Amino acid sequence: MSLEIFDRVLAAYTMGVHVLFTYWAITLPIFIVAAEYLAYRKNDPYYMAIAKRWSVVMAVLFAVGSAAGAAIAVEFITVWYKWMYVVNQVDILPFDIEVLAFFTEVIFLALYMYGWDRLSRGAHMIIGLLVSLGSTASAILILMVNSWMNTPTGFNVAQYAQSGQFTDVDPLAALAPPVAIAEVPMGVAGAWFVGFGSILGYFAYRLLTNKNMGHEEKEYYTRGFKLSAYLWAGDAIFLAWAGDNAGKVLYWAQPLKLATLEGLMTTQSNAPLDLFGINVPGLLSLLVSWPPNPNAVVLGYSSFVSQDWNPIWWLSHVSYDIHATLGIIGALVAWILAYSVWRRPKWLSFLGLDNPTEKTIPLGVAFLFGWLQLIAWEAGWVAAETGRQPWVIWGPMVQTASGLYAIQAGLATADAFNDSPEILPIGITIMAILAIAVAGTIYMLKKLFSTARIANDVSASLPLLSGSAGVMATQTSKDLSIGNDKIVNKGT
Amino acid sequence: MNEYVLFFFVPLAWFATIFMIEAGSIVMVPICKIESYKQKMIAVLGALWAIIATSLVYLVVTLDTIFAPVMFVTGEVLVAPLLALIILLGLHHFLIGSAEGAGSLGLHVDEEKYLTWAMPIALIVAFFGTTLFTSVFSGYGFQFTLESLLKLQITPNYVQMFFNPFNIVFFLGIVFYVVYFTVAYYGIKERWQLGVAGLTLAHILFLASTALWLPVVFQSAVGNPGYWIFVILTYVLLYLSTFKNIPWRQMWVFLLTYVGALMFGAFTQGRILQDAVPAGTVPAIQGSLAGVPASLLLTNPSTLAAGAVVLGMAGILIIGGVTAVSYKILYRQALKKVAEKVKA
Repeated sequence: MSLEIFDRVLAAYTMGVHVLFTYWAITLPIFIVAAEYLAYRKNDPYYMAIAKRWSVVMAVLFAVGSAAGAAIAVEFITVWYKWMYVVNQVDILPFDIEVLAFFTEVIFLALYMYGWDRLSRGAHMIIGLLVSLGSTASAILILMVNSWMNTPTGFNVAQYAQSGQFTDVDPLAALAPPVAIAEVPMGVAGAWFVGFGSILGYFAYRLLTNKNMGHEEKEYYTRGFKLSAYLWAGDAIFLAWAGDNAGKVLYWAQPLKLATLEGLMTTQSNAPLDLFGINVPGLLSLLVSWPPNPNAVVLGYSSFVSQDWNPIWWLSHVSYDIHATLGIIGALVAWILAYSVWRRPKWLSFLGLDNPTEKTIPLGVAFLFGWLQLIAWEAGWVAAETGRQPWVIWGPMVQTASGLYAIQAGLATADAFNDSPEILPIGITIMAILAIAVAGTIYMLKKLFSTARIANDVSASLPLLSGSAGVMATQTSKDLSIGNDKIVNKGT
Repeated sequence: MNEYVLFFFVPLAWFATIFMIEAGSIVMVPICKIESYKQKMIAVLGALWAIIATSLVYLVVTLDTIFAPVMFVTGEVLVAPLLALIILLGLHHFLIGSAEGAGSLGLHVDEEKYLTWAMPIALIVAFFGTTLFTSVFSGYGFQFTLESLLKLQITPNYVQMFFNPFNIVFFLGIVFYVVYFTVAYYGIKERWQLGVAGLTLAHILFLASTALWLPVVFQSAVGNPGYWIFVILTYVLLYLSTFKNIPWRQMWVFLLTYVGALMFGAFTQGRILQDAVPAGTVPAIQGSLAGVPASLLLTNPSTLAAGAVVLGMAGILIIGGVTAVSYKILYRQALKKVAEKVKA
């Protein structure tokens, strides 16, 4: 393997591991605060147990995710230092602001974790939302840097490509790369979609595989399933808009990248949408144009000089197809599940949707498509990054004398990687350590939760609810004692 | 001295000071024979994760913002030690995280086992960190000619970088300072002699190493009354923290060390490669002092000015906010648990 390929694989791997954690870092605070809110509103200890147990997950994932983030930060200044040099000179502000967002997240996460019985309910929930604000702001700022790599602003790119000199530097203008209006909503909606989907998948898996669970466990997992299904479906609306918007922005901001993702070789009107061989004429033109026009001309590779064609366009295209297919099916599943949890439609009983928290088909589908969103979004990220090749930083699109378009590259990938041979052994070790860290995290979480019983957590949640002598709480206490008796009887 | 170069020492000194608390605690946990101090050290380790992670990120981003061309040094000269450092830090975080997890599960034997494993790694991390620091300021391990230096075409010599007398003597100085720091920070009255010995050796080694290999730092320090006041205050603080149980003991020890680290930054006068480029080599660039001004490596003025504002705000947030939260919530909570455990 050449060092260029290895450097790219190392960056992709490290980033791939890091984004796994960011999906949950962005999603969990919302899920947890929603559970906490429902716990107070319904005086429901099960929702409170959900909030408390998952806040531990959030803290553990945050710690490991930030370690992976530190690894990326160091890889940037060593393996991709030539790229980082350009970023430092022009577009470092998002990273600087991201430090503020990261600190906000850290501070409020600590306050949230230790503020359960020390802060008022409202203050505690607001602090939870501030954790979410910090993590989401971090994601937005990093997405802005990525957008800047696609459509750089804030300096004279053409001048830099020719002479290596930075002229007309305006760091504030660099904060507004055109393609950010596509990448930011897509990235945030996508992260929530993976997060809520995988949480739903977890609850579905528990309900599916443990048919003999006790009353407390069943109530706990059922509530978790319902809440995550609603949140997943709500985000699917945002995601549908974000996906549509992303296509429209790429159409005018990065037509070559759009052609790469769609595998469009020839410029044409009435351009087809092709997903794994299923070809719908005119649909691509219709989706990317505004106002929607099935006869809109979409630029294919034939309109660009051949040296600018993406050498790995097939990888971007296939990854994009996987991403789009799983994402679209995921959104449909989310809406159907949320509807069936809400209405329990008898007419869909043949699919088990009249009782989705107990029937095998909806639970199995929720588990499968919830977790498949991880693959969908990792694939989407591969498509987005490989779709930018052969450049790390793009330049403006210009028309050549022949009438074809060319990209004035800011920085080619082949010029940006580090060819120091020592990166190979150290990089392999970094990859192994990250794998161990992920496995260790899963092991630690599993161990933490196998020792902490749900019944105990539900019971411990009672003092946090108003008038724990309330009807539901009293009922729950009874349930708990019955549940405990059952366990004792079972044990004996 | 350029104000941006001076600003860089704010996060650098901060990270160094924070890491000293951790290194001191982690090294002492397995060998500490007094149980109450040992439990406090474990509590401190648990409280530090947030502040260590954020301080490291702050340091790296500040470096990126202020010294854009330094990327050619990090990418071509320091690539192997920096990447190795990340592996070691990853292992170190993983072991401390596992110790924390084991502690919360009540598996205290495992907790101590993980901390014992983390001890040599913390020492190696400290050695790597010190090496990066000393190599940049002295120039050991940087191979260049004057012509190539001006084009930032520098190649590494890792053997020289790690195993030069300056690095080893300076590292020993830090180790002895950490011994003092730990005794003073935890107010370990039973080990005050160790604290005095550690502190004295640290001061001697710092002075000797800079006199021989960092001439600008040495000359700036010995001619500055502030430095001697600092030396006296370190002994006074050791006495007060071990025998008089002064209020806010940890804060004073921390603050004094931080001020000391900042003073070191000021004494460099913003000069790097001090032993590799003696005074008079390129007077047009150097002026009258040894080394090369780090201000030659500054980012373009527009980006620098904008970035500095945000970094200033971030500094207030980390030094104020994260530290307050780490102390008031994480550390105090952990101490409460220790007290409950002792009571039980």
